[in-house]
Amino acid sequence: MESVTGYPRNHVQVLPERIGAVANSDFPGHYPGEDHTWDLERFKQNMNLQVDRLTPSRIEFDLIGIDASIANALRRICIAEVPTVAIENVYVYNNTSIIQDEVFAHRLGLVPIKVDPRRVKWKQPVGPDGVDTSNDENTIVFGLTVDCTRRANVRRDETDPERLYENASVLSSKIEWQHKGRQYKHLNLPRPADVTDDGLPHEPENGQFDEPPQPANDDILLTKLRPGQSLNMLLYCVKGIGRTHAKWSPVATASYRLLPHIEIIQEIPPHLAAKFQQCFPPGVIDLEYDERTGQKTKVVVANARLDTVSREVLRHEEFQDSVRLSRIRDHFIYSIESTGAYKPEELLPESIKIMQTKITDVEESLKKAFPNHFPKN
Amino acid sequence: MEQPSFSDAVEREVDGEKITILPGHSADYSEATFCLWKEDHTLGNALRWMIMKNPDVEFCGYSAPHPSEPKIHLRIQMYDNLSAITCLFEALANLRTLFTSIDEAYQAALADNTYVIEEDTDIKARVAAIAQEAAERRARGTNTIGDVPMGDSTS
Repeated sequence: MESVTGYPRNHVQVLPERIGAVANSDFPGHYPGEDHTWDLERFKQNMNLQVDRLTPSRIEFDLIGIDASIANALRRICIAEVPTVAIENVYVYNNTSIIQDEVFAHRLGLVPIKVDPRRVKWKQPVGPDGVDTSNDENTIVFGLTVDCTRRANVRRDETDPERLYENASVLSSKIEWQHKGRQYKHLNLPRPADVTDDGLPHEPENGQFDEPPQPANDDILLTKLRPGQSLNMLLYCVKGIGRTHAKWSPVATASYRLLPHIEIIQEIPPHLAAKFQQCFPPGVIDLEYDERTGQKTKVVVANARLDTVSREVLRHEEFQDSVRLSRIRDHFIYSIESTGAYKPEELLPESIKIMQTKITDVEESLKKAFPNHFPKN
Repeated sequence: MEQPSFSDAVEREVDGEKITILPGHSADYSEATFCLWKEDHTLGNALRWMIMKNPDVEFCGYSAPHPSEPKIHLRIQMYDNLSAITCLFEALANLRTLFTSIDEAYQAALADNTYVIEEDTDIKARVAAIAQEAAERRARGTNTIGDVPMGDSTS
């Protein structure tokens, strides 16, 4: 449905100096004679979800037919409320490197840890009796022990520290997991050789054991060392959420953009066709064969999705009245990149689960306070 | 599953309640402002949208009174002296079914296998290729980005 401006109602207008019609107006009472009451069946019919691309670390999908408040809730939960495991306490026994203990500890905290957060319990804060609540179910321990030494048999004129010294660069691959208690059971791992069998059956879940806990990337530079310097520390990881600290965020990026839309409302003169095409990123505008000119001068929109909506075309006076730029308000193109704790395709379902618990929490509390107001039907 | 609050310093237990009603509501609860503890725009905005989808609602709005207080205020005013609390119940239930149907659509989309599945961009290989190319150009004696001789702009 078009409004008087010529833009469809569900389009955000991209104008030369501003954007227009940003807010959604699909509410009861907004348009005379139209019913915008919530209707699940109608919502399901209008809603469409398509996965576009999946890689080991990233997923891209289109979610069409939802309001920005819903889309944004999912994005926000992805970033700030889906839990992961990260290094929280660092016990430094020795650190003679150039980086101070506290700076190094902070740096270690940001290393993404690959362990399924669903297999780790929440660690309760230390109680008033001062007793630490750490146990094998809520804490994962890594060790970091590195010594830098001179290498033997190096050429006299060698200047590369990596060749001169052993462990000149300490990478995240040096972080080694230490098994504690009965952790192999909680984390769905084979029983380590040095752990005694408790006699109870231990089978892999779904016929497969998980990978042992480890940094998600093994080539993160932690610090550099020179001969005689060493590191010796224990790293205690706990489960947390991104709202508390970004190190617990399960995503590198979780974002969406609205699908761009380009409408050519006036024919582009053949001699300006090439210039028009140049106003957009490659692949957005195609020039087709035009019978009148006998050349490729017919301007068509090939793929608006590739447009960056730079508005370059609106800077040229000759094009200002020929094109209408917009974005589709209810077409969200999500891009979610996992840091490694979750598979990228697991992040949206996890976010939805967390949203459901939020809703249930409020509902339960409201039910307790106002049982008489609960809907009758 | 205990989740940490925004900040322990401002954590306030209100009889352990998740939701409270602020003073000043009408006697029949047709106009009321709710306070949702330990919630933010994530739930607030979605809930506001769903409540506004109800034709019996005269007004609905929400606010986060202060960024360091882990709470939001949700105002609902109803037509015809209907209960704002009932309206909130309905909105919560509707919101749950909405997210369930998104989840269902997502699982179906993942299962249909018509999307592109590929490996991540190998950044190390890409960097190595760029370095290689630069080295080759340097060997040929042509200027490259990042390897432009100083004071050479006139020649």
